[in-house]
Amino acid sequence: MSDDWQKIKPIFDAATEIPADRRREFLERACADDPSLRSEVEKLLASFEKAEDFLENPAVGEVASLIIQPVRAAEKDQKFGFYQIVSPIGRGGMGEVYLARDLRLRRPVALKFLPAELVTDPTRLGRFQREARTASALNHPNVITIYEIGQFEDRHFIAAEFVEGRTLRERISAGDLKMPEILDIATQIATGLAAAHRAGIVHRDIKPENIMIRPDRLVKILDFGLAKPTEKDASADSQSLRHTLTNPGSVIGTVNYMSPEQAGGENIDLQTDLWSLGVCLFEMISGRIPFSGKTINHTLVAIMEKEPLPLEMSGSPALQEMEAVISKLLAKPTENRYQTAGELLADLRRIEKRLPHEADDVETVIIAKPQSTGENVLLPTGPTAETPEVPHNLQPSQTPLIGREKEIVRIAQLIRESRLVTLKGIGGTGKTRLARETARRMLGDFPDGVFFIPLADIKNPELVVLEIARPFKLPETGAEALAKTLREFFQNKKLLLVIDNFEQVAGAAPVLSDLLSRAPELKILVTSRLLLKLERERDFSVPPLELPDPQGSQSPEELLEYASIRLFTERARAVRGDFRLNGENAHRVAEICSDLEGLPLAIELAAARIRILSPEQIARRLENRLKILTGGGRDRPARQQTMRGALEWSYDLLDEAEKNLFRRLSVFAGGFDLEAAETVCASGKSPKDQLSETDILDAFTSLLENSLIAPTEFAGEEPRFRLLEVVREFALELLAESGDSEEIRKGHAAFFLSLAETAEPEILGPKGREWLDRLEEEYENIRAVMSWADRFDRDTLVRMAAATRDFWTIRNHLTEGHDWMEKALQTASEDSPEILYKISVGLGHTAKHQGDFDAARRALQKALEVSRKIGHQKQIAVSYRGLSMTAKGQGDYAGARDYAEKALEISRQMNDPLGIAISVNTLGDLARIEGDFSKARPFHEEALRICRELNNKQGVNCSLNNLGAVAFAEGDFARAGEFYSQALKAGRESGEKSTLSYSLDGLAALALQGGDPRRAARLAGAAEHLRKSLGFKMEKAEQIFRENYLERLSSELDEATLGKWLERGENLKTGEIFALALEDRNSPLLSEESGSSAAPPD
Amino acid sequence: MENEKKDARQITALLHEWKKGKKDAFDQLFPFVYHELRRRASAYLRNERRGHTLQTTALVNEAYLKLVDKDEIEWEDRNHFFAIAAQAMRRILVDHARTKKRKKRGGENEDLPLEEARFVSATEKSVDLVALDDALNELAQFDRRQAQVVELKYFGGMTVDETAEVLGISNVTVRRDWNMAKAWLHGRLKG
Repeated sequence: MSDDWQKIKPIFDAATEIPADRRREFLERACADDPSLRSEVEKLLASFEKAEDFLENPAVGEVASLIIQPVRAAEKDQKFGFYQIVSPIGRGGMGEVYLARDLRLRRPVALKFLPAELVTDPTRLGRFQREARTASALNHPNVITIYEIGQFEDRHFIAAEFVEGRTLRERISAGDLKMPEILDIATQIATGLAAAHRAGIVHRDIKPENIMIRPDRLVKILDFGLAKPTEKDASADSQSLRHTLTNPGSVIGTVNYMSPEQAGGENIDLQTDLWSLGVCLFEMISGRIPFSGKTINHTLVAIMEKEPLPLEMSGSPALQEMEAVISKLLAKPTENRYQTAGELLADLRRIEKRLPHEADDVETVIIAKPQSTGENVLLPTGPTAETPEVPHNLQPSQTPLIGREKEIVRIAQLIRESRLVTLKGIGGTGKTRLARETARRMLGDFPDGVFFIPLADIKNPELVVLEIARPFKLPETGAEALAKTLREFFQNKKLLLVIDNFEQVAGAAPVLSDLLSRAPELKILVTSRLLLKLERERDFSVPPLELPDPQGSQSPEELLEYASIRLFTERARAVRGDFRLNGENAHRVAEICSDLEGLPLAIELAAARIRILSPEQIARRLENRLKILTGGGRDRPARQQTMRGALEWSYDLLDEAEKNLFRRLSVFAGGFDLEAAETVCASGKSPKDQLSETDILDAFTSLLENSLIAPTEFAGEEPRFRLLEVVREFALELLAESGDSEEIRKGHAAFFLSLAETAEPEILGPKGREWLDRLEEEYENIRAVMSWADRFDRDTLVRMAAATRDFWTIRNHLTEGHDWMEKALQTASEDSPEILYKISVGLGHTAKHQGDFDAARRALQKALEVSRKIGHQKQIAVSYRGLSMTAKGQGDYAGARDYAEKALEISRQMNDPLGIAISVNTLGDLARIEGDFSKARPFHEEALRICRELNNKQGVNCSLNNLGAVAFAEGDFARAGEFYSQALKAGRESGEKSTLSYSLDGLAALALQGGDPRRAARLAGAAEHLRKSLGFKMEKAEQIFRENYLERLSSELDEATLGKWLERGENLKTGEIFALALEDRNSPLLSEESGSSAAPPD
Repeated sequence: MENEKKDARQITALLHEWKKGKKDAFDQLFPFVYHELRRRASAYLRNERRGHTLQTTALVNEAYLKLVDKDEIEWEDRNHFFAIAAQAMRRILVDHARTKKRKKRGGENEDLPLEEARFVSATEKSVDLVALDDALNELAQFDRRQAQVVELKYFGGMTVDETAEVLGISNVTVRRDWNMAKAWLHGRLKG
């Protein structure tokens, strides 16, 4: 055979290289004298022709595709919980992806199923879900939003925002990208990456396929679910390498966008994403990739070793700068690259300003982009790396803001020029959205944060101070004292408060001017229907959205330049995916928007109806409705009239069940979930108005679709909804007219009473935090129930107060809680000692925390008396402990000890570990206050042991600190250091900040002891700063401890030096505090910073 | 971590030795590569989604990065490594096919992990890998290079260019070898 084969070979080769129809002729010549050779070759040629793609797909690839095939794909219309499959999309990372419809929220979603194999491995499933959750926490406009990580039967899925548009790959292939747009896309990707990197997430697979560009040019980075959290631990290098390599998908697909460190299998961090972005940018500009080779290996080598292909950019300085940016992105050593996405952003923005404004810039005046308005204000589209760690509580929006660029720029200017700006306008003009968006973009201006204070549900001006203090979790000591605390708190802070819906509490305007006068760096942005009429107030009347000329004959494309038309179109498409503005309907849409005077809410209400009505029908009906209105009494301003008209119109289109539900939902303050709606809104006064669960679900979805209910950004498990303020007012009026008001209020009260009573026994248990969060979420509703019950249903008030007693104290709503409980106690009957006890103890705790010890003692003695009467041992112990702490607060240490010993005795008899721990801890504290440390030690040791067993983190940290203090006092400094460091580390892990400051004080005292007064001063400064920022008041024993070491410190350093180092400590960031506190005291860094005078530590 | 580093050094040294012609270096090397690839292939097959072709070269490249000491390795070593890897892939796939066949005949009840069982059931549907393996051995008797081309290209998942580089021959030669071997194997298996 071997010989024959060698003969066959050249003939076969030659034959395959000529066209099939000439092969016969060729063989006749080539094998003229050898028929057997000819037959061999012919046989082989026949096989060759038949073989086609035989073996052409690599063995593994073929195997893989065959294996994956049988995995169940989802069918059209199949339902997974609330999601119904529409069609496969087939793009995205791991798992199958479908376009589906969220039946509850009536919005399209991208549903990504995890492969069954992943699901069978709990460790990996867990990892995947954790990561997806991390990614879902991102909430950035340039990162695809993950709605839910869910499971239906055995299918695990991720529901994400469905992004319509084209991938960057498609755009590059189309070859129509121009410079301004390229810059914009790169900027948006960098903005998204900056947010992700800040959250410790590296994408690792940035490539044109993973970038979506929506028609409105908003860019979204996809597939963050596959991104891995940054590996920060240097010792985990090899671990992370293995992780990378074993992670399916890490090398799969194209290698073109890989960074050198990825190609080399090295540790990967955020610079990898910047490299990949550099490759994308290169490709967007040149249509080519910077590194390529014949084979994958050549490409990898090129990436690791070669210079990128030249970009050949010429012309303007902006383009040259762009080239410099790209080469910095594509620097091989990571240290030569941009260190953060924020640095890159700064450069990109600079280039943008220098871009020549050529003709094609016109089409690049981008909807969602403030930069393109060209003013001198630099407003990032989102929190960027330039605004690192700016604290804020701005919720991300569910839908993009449309238009409003000029307004945002103008408002930002006003805020920069003045200190109090009021956005004025009737309900429905979009003041809130505008305020929120402006605030978000100004994060960079306010290093101390931007905070949103919603007042929609507040009617009582006295509560305004409490509401302003809420996001800061300041200690409450009564409204007046709180106002003072607030002034101090804001004093040196560069901070923006966004106070929403001020009109109802106009009486509280002086509170704002008082704050402004005491805190020179504070700025306030208010939204209100009325002006505040304060001295330095600057106002901005929020205009309606831009409208086209109703007589004009613009094309649909031209009409889309108007924000009002864009808003209508976007909202219409949200309910009917196939809605497009075209030659036929554009004119009608323009008419509708004009009729509605460009009022955003009115336009939304109208657009929502596009599901069943044509634009023409909407226009006609609206016109009729508005005519009736304008024909009627003109006691309202015209625009308000229009808004009202749009609401009535939308309401009239509802069926009876929907109308019923809509009216009834107005009873909720601050939002509701579906369950609450179902329970509270089921029955009105008349039995025929009874709504079944199905009725409610149907009506609910319809109201959602028609924009009468809005989903809120939910933090918890259940989606929440609310009525916008104007809508709620309208609905409340209707509810009052319907006569159902009383029934519904009763139902509302009963529902939240039941919630509070269910939560009550759980609050101090292992799930306490979840329940407290749940109550916090319903804070407005609880408040509404309380104030209703105060007038109409005393029994509910009493039970509600009893059930929520711990909530007020633990969540620091002291003033309000105290007021409610006091009111409740006045009517509580002596016949129900249980309730009496609960309210008294709650009252005692709030009073004690507010520093009103006399009131606290009275309340707690009442609690003790009642619980003794019923002989409830645990309650007796709780009362004693409260009395003990109150006595301690008043300086009556003997009394405090007496009470604590009584409590301890009962807790021991009952074998109540937490009770024992709290009692011995108090006894330990008392011993320390009196300087008896050897007596204190066994108490704290016992507390530590019990808290560890109970896994009570705060208790453990607290005990560790206390033992540190004991060891310090006994001169065992090494041991003290151990305790404090342990406490500090544990505090860092559990996020339990309250005990951290004590650990820092301890370490400060140790630093002083070790001969390093400057370090001591810095730690002392940091401790004090931490307490201030938490509004944390020191315990007596700790106060003594601190005073002692500070006194020694001031004898070692002169006043100026001490002040300087204290201040340095105060300015440390949290991360730096830990680094300083935990670093090796022999480290060179430290001794250098501490100055030469420091004696070497022992 | 220490072990990995040691392994990497050893593997790199073995590659050098094999390059110098030391036959048993290959035998020592093979198990490392085989083991590593098998693990990776299983991982991939468990996770790959439909329609996304798995790239064997990417797989092999990962194994390479994992196994060798990057400071010591030379460019030619990479080609040697890839040649071994293709052989290893061949053995992995064929072994699985064989195990599956045995099972079908009611042979010993091996406790295969789920993903490997699926791995095999799928191969059966496409190409009879056991028969292909035998035929390829036969081909190697009279044209060793053609058999190698098939091994690199089909089992190693390499492109013509990559195959050419590993074997140190021209692209044209690779294509010719491939055409003829494919024709012959097709005749053998399907003819």
